[in-house]
Amino acid sequence: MIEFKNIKKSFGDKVVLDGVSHTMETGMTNLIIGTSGSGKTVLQKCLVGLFEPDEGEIIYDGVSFTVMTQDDRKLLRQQIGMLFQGSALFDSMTVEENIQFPLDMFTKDNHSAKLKRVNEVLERVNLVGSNKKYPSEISGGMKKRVGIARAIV
Amino acid sequence: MSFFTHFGKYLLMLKGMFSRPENARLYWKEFMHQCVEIGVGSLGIVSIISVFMGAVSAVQTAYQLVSPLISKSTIAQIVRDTVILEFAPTLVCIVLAGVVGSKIASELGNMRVSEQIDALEIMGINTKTYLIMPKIAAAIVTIPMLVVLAMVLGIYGGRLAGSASGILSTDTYDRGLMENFMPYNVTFALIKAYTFAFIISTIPAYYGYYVKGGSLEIGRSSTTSVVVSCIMILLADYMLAAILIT
Repeated sequence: MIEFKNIKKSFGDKVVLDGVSHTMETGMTNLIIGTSGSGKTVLQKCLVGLFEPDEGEIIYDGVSFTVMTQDDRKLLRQQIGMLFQGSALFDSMTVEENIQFPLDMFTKDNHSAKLKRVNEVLERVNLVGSNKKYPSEISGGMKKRVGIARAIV
Repeated sequence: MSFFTHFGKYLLMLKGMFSRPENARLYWKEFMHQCVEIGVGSLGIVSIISVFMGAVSAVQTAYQLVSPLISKSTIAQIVRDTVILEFAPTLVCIVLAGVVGSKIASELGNMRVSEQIDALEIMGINTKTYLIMPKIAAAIVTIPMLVVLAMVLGIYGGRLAGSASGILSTDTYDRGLMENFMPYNVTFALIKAYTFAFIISTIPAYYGYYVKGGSLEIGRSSTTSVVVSCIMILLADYMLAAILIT
């Protein structure tokens, strides 16, 4: 469960989040909708620790994010998948290397097992056969799907 | 931002680099990749600069040594000591500050602006350790090697220019190289090389890692990092000389 209470965030004089609170229950799909520039991405980045809120508290399963150590935050983040607006693919790596990167970093699987998993998620996002392409060689929509594949691998 | 804010943030960045790697094999791979980029990638420019630097030193020293009372082998001594003490460590590192420093700053800046650093953070990777530490380690390993190569090629360039222009024979040059040689000069040059390697890698990494904005800001941060690195190299050069050889 994720709870956030009274989150406030400003950039200079511009107040983006002004006391946002909500509870996201375990197992539920939550949707944050708002007009362009209303703070959806800023809230999301506060929830995962990319931004530090000016005020407020974020609680993951009863533990406050702000009191977590760096190691605890790292462990928590390994359970989080995030898709960025610009996909944030590693542009010096191929599609296959991008998706395989979390497996390379955090698992001890052999190459065949990792490749099998990569091909499974590529099939799920309908990008079979694009393993050796670079991000600069694929469309925006395909980049988004690679981003999803990397987030769920 | 004031100088002290920048300096504090820079020190915090360095402190944040020291954490246990998530996967030692991947970190080693990144370190080796940076060694190739920084070391092998700079071989060409360092070689060319060093040879010409030594050659020009020999020719200009010969031009200034007009007294017949001074032996021609003195030219070799002067070229040797100038190359070892100053040209190889300082001049080569200033060039590397431009070549390597701008590469580091723009690479990290581009990764910041395109949210690749955020993506790595979300995966649970300490980006300061994964992205910056291998660059610093690779610079500290490879740049002193490049400086040693610069010393050798610079001295050889002087020998080449001296014999090609008829200023002095290769035998006279080789004899001069061995006269009054102080091994401490090489130690001093290597101390400078390690110091400058740290400057060349950390300052551009700081400017690139914390860039905000778009492509214009990436360009600005790259330029600023090179300027600041060059100034810090010259400052460190003077301080090391004042402390270690006076």
